Amino acid sequence: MESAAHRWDARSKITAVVGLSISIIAASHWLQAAAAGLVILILLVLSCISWRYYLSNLHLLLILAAITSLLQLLVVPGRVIYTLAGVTLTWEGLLAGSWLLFRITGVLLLAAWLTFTTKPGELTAGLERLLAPLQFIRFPVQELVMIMTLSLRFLPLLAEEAQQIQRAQLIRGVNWSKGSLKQKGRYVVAFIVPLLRLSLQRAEDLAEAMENRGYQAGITRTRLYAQPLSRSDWVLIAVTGIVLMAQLL
Amino acid sequence: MIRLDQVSFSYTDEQVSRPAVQDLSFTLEAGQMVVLLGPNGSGKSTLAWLIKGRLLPGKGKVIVDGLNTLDKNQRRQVQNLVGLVGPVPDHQFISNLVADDVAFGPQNLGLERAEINRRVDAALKMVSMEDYAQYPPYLLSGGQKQRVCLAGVLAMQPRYLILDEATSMLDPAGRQQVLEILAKLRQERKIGILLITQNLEEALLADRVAIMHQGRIAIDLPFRELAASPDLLKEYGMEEPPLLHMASLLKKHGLLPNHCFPDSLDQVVKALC
Repeated sequence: MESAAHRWDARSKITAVVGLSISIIAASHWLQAAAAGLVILILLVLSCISWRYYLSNLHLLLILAAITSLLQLLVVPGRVIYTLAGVTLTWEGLLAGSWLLFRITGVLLLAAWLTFTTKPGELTAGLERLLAPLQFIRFPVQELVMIMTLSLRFLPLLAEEAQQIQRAQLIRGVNWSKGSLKQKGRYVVAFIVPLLRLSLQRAEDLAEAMENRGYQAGITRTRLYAQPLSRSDWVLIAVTGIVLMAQLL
Repeated sequence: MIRLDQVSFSYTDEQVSRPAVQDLSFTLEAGQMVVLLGPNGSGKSTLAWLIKGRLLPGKGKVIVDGLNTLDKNQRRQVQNLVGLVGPVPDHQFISNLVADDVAFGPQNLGLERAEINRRVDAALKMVSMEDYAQYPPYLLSGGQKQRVCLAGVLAMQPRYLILDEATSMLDPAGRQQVLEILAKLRQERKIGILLITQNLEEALLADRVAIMHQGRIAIDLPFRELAASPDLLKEYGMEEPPLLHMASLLKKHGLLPNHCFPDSLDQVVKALC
């Protein structure tokens, strides 16, 4: 579904994600964190994407964040809440753990929001325009963005190749769940070497395909997504700016 | 017109030099369709790359609409005039979205954004993939993927199109779809088509059929002449397509007139009834 968040320009969305991420990480007072959290919450609601979808895509990372926060809870010294089998929970640990969980969750949700509401092409085009001033110091912005585009293209391709190698190994009797550590090490090598070889082959194929369609490093390419920023884009940038400024107060 | 004059090309490294194309002369006119057959290693793909200007002849010259690929400035124009579709669709996608992928070529031509969008829409419509513009390519079937690859090349509006075994990985339905698109392109846009294949059945639509053998064009004949000489096909390791074999058997028994070269089973039935 095309929501308001989907319609925003990638530049304003990238700015918002970077700005709000800095805000939430740098926040030292609960009011500052709450302001950033509230804006993130509004952005998520405006995306019209269900919470279930966000959670299903982030659940592994969120579990990892929860484990990291739990470690904070156990290792930070302070006023004791409870002691069990030599492990002490402290108020300071609880606070530090909660802060960490809040910050990681905020950043993960922002990253998910950006990728769920922006097409890959729009994302890279937005980044290209944001980084355009760097071209004055001869920074290869176009090439960098092309590398990003190709990396995004490569991910499903690599996953497919990895699956194929795994299937081929399975047919030849490789069982990852059995065998000694040394044997498993051998399996990993037997998996990584053909994957690397195939990746290089795919990279060559991709370079050929690009050249076949007229790509050359340094040529002037037309930007596909290059509409001017709308009023709502400016509102999003302004709100991000206000939240960011609030961290300095 | 594409013209190759006495072209030779060898793949060389420090130790060996392997000739791939030798003293080859060949022409392809706009609006014409030529099917190029030949076993693996006979030099078909090398010929395609020489025409595209991606390989340069060691001897002789490749001229496309008066432009010589040996000239650095003219080569860039040749590369835009000649579109090349390869055999594996997955290796030809550059973007994560069908519409963006089709737009990649026109973007490199530096066209206006409105013109790019118009070309993308037209190219996708041409291959009947307009409903899939916002799909990631890896979710499509083999035939659909190859049609998107074709659209990506068509959006650059080439005057000549080379399909290097582009139908080899498709099922019969997918192959038929691609062949129908080629017939349409030839009729409506007068694009010159070089179809490289191992499958003689695809030659039914062609004006001429050329067979490559050891880096040379061994045979270059109108399809009907070649179809009437099954021994010639056998000589170069080609199998007569079942439809043509059936037609030649029927002709032998006087059931089908000699001038009849059916391109479908329906035509055979019609001729018999």
